[in-house]
Amino acid sequence: MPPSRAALPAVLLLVLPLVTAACGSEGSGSGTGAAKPRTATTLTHAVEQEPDCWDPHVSAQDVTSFLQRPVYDSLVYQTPDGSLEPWLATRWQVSPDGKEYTFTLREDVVFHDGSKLDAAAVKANFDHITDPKTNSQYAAGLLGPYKGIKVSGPYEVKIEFERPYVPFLQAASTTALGIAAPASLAAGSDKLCAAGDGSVGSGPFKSGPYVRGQERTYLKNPAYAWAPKSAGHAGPPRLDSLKVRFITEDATRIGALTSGQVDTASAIPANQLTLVKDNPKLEVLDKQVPGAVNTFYLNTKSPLFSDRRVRQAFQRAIDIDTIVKSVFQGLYPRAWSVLSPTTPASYDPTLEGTWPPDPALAAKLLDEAGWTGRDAEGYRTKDGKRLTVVAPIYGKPSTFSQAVQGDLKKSGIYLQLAASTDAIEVGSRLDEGRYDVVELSWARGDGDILSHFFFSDQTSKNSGHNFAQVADPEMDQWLTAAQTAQDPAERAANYAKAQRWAIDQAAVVPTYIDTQNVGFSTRVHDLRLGISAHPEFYAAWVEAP
Amino acid sequence: MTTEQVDPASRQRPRFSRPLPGPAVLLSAALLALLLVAAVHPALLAAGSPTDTDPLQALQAPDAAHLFGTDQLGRDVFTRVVHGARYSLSIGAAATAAGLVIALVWGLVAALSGRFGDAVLMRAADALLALPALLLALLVVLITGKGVSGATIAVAVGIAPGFARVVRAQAMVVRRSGYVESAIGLGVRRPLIVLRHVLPNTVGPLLVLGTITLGASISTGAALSYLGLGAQPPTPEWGAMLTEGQGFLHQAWWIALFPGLMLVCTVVAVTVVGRHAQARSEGRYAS
Repeated sequence: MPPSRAALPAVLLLVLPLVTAACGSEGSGSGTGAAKPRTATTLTHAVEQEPDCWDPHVSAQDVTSFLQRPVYDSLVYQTPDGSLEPWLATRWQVSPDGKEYTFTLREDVVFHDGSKLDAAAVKANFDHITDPKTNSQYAAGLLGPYKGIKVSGPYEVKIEFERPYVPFLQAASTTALGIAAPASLAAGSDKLCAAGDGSVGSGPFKSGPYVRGQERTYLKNPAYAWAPKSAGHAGPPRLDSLKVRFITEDATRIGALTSGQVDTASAIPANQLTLVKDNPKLEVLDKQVPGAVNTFYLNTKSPLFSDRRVRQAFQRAIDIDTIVKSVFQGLYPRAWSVLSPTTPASYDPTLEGTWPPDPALAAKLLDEAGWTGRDAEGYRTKDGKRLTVVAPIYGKPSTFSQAVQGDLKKSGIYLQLAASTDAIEVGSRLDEGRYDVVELSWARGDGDILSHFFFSDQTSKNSGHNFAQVADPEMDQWLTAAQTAQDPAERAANYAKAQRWAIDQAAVVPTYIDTQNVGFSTRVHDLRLGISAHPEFYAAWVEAP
Repeated sequence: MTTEQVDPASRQRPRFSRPLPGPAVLLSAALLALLLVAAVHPALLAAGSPTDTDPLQALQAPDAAHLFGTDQLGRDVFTRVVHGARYSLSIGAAATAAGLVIALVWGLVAALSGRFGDAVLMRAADALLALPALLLALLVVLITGKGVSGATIAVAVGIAPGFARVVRAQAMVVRRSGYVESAIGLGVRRPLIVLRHVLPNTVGPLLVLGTITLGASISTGAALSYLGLGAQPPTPEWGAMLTEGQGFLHQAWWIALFPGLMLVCTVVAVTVVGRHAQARSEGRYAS
């Protein structure tokens, strides 16, 4: 493409306030002037998944956080590069002992229902998150050693913790801790969670019509005037409305993008990237997702994997490099640690190259563990029982999982990909520990995601996701130290110990660094990927065709 | 259900009075024989394993080493297609057989149970017939659960109501026939009449119908697998292979094309042979 395209966004950024102002004044139907670029008023985005629950205080789904970001603002904003800045809170103060955060709120914020943001509203949100009846699957876990919240002024709240909890500021920036209008929280979980039509926040977009299985519409919030400084725009959003269509089938979603039915699309798979990139009407934004990379969490309490030798055999039997290179066509890097390198100030690069594939070692370990027999299909057996590793999967098994399955077969290990489209069934399997391994990635712009996975108290009952069922005093100590330390280097050092332990104990097999590819039409401008590698629509606008 | 449409003029055409089956039938029969070999002893046609992956060989175009190319996991598509015959044919055959058994009981009971029982059973069949077989199968899969056996049962239930009507109609005819009336007159007990006379004389037309339906059952089974409700990965079932291949269509057309082609050829071949068998059984071919 000509170089002019690269220069275009910067130029448009400068002239845009003029353009939108002009359009606004002409909006009553007099038509646009010939010299001014016209803007389409709606952007349509295709997403690969539909939330099971729309309440970010409840859902643990990344897609819920992404799709409710336009509706809910948070106290703090995390910029795409990971730094934190004021949003609904104009400033904050941490007590000398690190146990208490005092937030001063903006006084001009109005929720979509017309009510005002004040200290009581923030308290109502924290009370909703921590209410056992809410059954929070993630947000409550983000609060860590939470003790309580106090209203200390009309626009001031104090949030207290049992012990110093440094990761809280970043946690406060997530959609999971987004601030909803208090009245909407009282509307009940049906409206908030399942139907999603009860979402009332203070964000740049209001929740609009929702057709389950098809699409959700968002409408511009014309009163919006409290965007964070680095949002790339100020005032009401440039789009009049935003439409999100749920297209789970990869080929269909890409087809919708290439045919112009949608303007932007998430999760372009690696094998379709060239198709999108070669299209002169399309471009791709990509970003390595911060947080936990795509990882197999080995259930250290399952009958099979309580034997560390078997876990290590599983870890070293997989030729991760070759599979990742082949499945993702050389586009995604393999992972060596459970944390992604893009996670701010916590990744441990010294793990790289320390646990290469070693099928011979895997064979030796399995022999030692007594898995010496072989069945007709070549799988190892012990007392006549096949070496079966059960992996519950929600939806369809990915090409990557199947490639790992094929590779493990060479070492005589049967990876059973137990796929189900029943979210409740998969959820109860996980809650009850009826699995050997769970494969997933988890976006978060903070290394404290490790606490979520490895802290002994992060059971599913405590809104945690300790899939590896780790209960280790040393691990708890490192994670506590990391949460307590004010010095970033000290935090990183403790997170590094946790990352190394997880590899050494074969509690995890990190595989590849999840990369978000968002395809978009060249008519779309000022689209960017936020900290969790999802598109931010606030500043975006679309040229009329 | 399919209704038999016979061009009255066709009986006069010499082609139809030929004692030997035409080339289409022979070709179809040959293909079915080959498929049968593939289903029973796939190693005779393709030596490797259909599930062995080789990431370094992924997405290779068809060549001498890989006749049908390789898929996204480096598995040989030809080997998978050959081994897939077993799953696709057995889902179709088992489902048709099971459907026939269900229909036989259903239809016989309806025909022999008096006006009220007949009305209830046949209205039930009508209600189910209002749904296309695939839709009915989809509903049943919700209950049976997905997988090869779940899909087989689903397809069987999907085709049973149509069969049941045929069984009932045939049983009604047989019931009023002279030999059954005579048997009743002679004082033969009812169960014996059903077993000795009604059943054997009902089964004949049903077998022909089953042969014709087999093709449709194979494609319904494949459709369920295509939708992710039948055979699960890495099972080399043709419908499941189609699903896997569709994400790679622009990059590696061979992954989806060959299983799809096999599916079409198989269904056509089964139908051609089935029609031939039907025509023979109806005495339209002099032999």
